[in-house]
Amino acid sequence: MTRPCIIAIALLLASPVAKGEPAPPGKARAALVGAGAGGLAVGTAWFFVAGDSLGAGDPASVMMAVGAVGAMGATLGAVVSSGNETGFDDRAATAPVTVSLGSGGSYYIDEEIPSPATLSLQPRFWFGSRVRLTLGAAAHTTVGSTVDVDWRPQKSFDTALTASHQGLDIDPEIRLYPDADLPLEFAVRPMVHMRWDAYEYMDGGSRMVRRTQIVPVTAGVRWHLSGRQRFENFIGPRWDALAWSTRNGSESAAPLFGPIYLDTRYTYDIPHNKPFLGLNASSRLNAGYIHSNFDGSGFDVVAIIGFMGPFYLDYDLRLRRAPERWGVQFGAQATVGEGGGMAMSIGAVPPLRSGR
Amino acid sequence: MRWLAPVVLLGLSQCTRPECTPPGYWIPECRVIAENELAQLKNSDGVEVRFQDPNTSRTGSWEATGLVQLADDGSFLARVAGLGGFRLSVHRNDGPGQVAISIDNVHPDIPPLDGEVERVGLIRRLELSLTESVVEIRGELPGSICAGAYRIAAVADIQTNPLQFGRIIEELHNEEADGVPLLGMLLLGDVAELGTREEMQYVADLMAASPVPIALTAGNHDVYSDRDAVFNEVFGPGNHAFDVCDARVVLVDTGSGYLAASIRGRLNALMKTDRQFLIAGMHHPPFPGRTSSGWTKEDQAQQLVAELAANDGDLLLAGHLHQRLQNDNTPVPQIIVGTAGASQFAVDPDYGFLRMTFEDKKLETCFVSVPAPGSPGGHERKRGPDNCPFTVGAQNGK
Repeated sequence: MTRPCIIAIALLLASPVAKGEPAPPGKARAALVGAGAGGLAVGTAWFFVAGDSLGAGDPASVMMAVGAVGAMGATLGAVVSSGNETGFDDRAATAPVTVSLGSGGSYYIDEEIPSPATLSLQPRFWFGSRVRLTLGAAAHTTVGSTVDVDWRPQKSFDTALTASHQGLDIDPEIRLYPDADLPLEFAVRPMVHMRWDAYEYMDGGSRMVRRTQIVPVTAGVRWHLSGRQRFENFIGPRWDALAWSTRNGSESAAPLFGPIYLDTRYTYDIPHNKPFLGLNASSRLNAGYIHSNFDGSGFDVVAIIGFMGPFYLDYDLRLRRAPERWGVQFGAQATVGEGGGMAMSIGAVPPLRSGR
Repeated sequence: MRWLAPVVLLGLSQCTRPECTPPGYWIPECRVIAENELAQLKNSDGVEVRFQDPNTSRTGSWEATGLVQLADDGSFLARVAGLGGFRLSVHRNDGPGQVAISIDNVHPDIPPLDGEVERVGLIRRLELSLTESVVEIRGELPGSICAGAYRIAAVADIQTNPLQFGRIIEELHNEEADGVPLLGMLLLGDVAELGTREEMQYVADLMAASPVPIALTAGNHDVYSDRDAVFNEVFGPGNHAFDVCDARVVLVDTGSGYLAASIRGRLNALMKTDRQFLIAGMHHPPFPGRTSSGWTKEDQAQQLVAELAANDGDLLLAGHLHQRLQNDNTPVPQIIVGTAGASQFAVDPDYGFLRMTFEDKKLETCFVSVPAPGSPGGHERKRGPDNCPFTVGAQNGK
């Protein structure tokens, strides 16, 4: 085991979290910076020593990403910390109903990239004060189609490919709050994501391809480094299923074991001391990484070892007159990486449940 | 004047440009443009040589089925990209009535071509009289060679060990000697380590010793240069399809970890065939899990797999992983054969190539070990059945 790995593990074990006690935010962040930097260093070394192999490159990518998001998130967390890190009730958590519209457009003449549109439902149900069920689901579509041109110089620059995309995500989540004093939450989120890609080819042919990402045992841990800062990781094995249209109908293949799925994020709750547009306001910033390029976006690491998914930055602003009234939540999302883009969202927020 | 700001912003947002301006040959669409432009050339006299699709008789345009260059003496050099048959058209325009062309990567069993004056290895030298405004050169394998069993070899990943690739080339001569005709080899990318012209030219020089033509596609190590389409300038197209006897072979350039959109738009056309067998070759293995290494857009990998499966593909060949692997639980059986010489971090590296034997409706695949000198595992090449991963029955019934 390499020295950075030993240091990273030692730092993590030495952190107050390992003892099950709430840690002062500064110490918790220092522990996360140390562990994260160690994970990033080991993951990076592993990544490049692994060579052209996803077998080794995939866990190395995961370690790099968790380390990078944790270390950078905690570092920024220390910078933006105002001293008062007490949590507050009406924070900008995920809205139960959200509609979002992404950016489209293309740099190339006669080509089109449509705007993605999503309807997300995240209704939450509490069972006592320690168990919460979220019935997460999302429907995706595109406003228009992807159009690509045949740039071969001896041809007439006709359309090479037209594609439209639809999608459905089923993401139920059970979250456990084991101890009021323990700064950890645990969650299980089995996920099934389906995409229907309809292609129209240059020769007049067409093909429907259905891709399914199945992550049945995704386990998550959320670490509350302070009342306003959290570090969360969801990880699980993934299977991929493929189906395609044929002349006589459709065919499908059995699911194949895929790469590791990971969603790692650092979250900042930002209280607003002054009303905004005459309404009470609070906001939230999520900075994270998803280890999956299921939707075709990700970081290009010169196509060598495994792959890197996209980094993302989400900002949400919650506005409402009073906690017992319905509110509205505006969001801006940036997916950073090849094939990424910007999106804006609006969601409805129900009255605040007392105690949460 | 503040009202002008939105107008200016709107105008800027509409600033679109053609693909590959300025060029960046790391981008696959740029390489598609390059490989097509490099498939035809007009010399200073105005004579033009164009590669054509051998399945048509059209000459009005051209297809990226080869590479045309000029030698120092002004004669044409044409490298056939695929295995089996080929077709070129020579357009006299205002040029002289005679033109010298050397055509490389031609199978030795292809009968003499019109105007052929010399044959050196896989190169045919032609002194062609341009009696008409357009003269065609067509090479075809004799029907007799396809009547029985025939073979095609495949391998990938040379990188830092071209000498080992030289040993594989040498072994191809033994393949030729055992009675079943070898019609060529597929080299599935990572010809070079740093993607330099010098590295690729060295491999091209090694390939001159091959007894059979070699068809290539690019790997990630071959496309590092943004300024030059080095792979295409040395070897020709990385995206091409060709017919060899009753097999259709489709090679796609995944060097950047994704496909050019124009290639995605032609996948169906490239794979549609009435031949008995359909084989697809690429550098990055497209299936998920341990072997989906390198693809940066998995929706494209899955589109490619779906298209191959929908067209009743028989086998998917890839490299990138420096080992041999087989996976027949996938929609189309996949074999990875990244064993041309690249480092395997092993004391006894598993070098060699895949031998595909086509006979009637059966495709048999075996691994032919070509150990490094002094390799303690050199005995492996004699093991026999262990080196035959599996047999693929023709799935398409065509």
